[in-house]
Amino acid sequence: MSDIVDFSITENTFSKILASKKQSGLNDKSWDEWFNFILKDTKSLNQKQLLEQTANNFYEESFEDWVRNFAINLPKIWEDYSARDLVLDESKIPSSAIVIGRGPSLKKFNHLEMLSESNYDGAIICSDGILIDVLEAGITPDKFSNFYVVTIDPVEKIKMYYDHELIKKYGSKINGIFSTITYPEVVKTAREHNVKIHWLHTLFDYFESKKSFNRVSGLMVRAVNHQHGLPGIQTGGNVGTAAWFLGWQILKCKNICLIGINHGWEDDDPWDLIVSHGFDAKSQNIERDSEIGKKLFPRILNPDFNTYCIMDPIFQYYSNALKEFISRSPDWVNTINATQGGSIFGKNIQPMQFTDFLEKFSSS
Amino acid sequence: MKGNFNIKKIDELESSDNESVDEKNELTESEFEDYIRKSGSAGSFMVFRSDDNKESELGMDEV
Repeated sequence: MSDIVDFSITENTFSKILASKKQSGLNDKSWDEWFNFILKDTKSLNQKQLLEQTANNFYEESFEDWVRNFAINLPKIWEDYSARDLVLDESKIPSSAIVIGRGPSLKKFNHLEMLSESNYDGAIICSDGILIDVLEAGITPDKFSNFYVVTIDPVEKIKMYYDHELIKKYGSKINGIFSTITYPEVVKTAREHNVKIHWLHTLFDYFESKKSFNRVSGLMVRAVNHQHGLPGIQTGGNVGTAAWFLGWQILKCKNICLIGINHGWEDDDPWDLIVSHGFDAKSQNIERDSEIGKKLFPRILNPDFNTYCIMDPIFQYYSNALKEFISRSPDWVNTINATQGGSIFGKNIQPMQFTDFLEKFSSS
Repeated sequence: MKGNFNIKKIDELESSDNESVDEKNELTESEFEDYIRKSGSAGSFMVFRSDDNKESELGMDEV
């Protein structure tokens, strides 16, 4: 091959290439680095689709449970609020919301304590798994009046996230957003502690056919109440991503800050914790330094914070989806990642230290 | 408009090693499936997709 390859393109094409290089955040990098970036992206996209397809194949195993959950919830869904009822008048919409996941960065950087001691005046959106820790840290609806918690997982174990004295104490001031296929005992426990129940559909098969579960359940909800149905939300497969969607799609906040949304593990996290996806899954006998261990649990660089994290297969799946949806979000949505680590970086994601975010969005 | 690529030669052996490492680290469908199945996490998560209505993947106001 010759050392120099000549090629011709139109000015229009060249302008598009320049714009794309700039948009990818590599404006000041070499052409070689940019080409490698886009070629790698194409490769990961294929892998992303492959992981999604595999994960989605499993849903049939749980389908009957989801239908059962919905059937038991339905009479209450007819009586309760829609998540749409949470939409505020434009003048009352907070300029920002903080989405709180339960990633290891929360403890590492004392983010809950920092938030608790701040005069932040935006919305707090907790993923259900961190709600008790948030309240224990002093982040309560008494101090932060726009207070929300989200549940989308249709499984029984979520019940423990609502079974606590602090939920009982503050429940009446907490806005709960629940998927219509939430395990009924979970909603019952939240209701017993006076959490205000709001419903929405989690989208998964809406366009498969007119007989899809999303469509049929939508019609059933409209049959008695909720004439316009309920909002349908993309979950990205996990409650943290669902909470990010809630922040701008339902609550209409323009600035969405992420903390504890690592979608990855720290280098010093115990291997048992990593290999079992935080003890949520059954632990598997996979050696860290084995070939399969390195494949399933790659260590990646977050260039925004210059930190490393270890992905597990489930986090790879979640991270791919969240990053894609952030990259496709409307121009008016500003996603700020103040997790200070983890695997969420890329297009439309503004990295920021959490102290800087709090300074910018707190009342004086 | 005309341009040219100035090709920098890279040691063939080094290049070949890099490729094999990349391919080796690619998570395959069966490896992912095996992990999910053994983890007991099956069915608790899904990403909603629609080839015909990509906008709906970001959510729907009324279902």
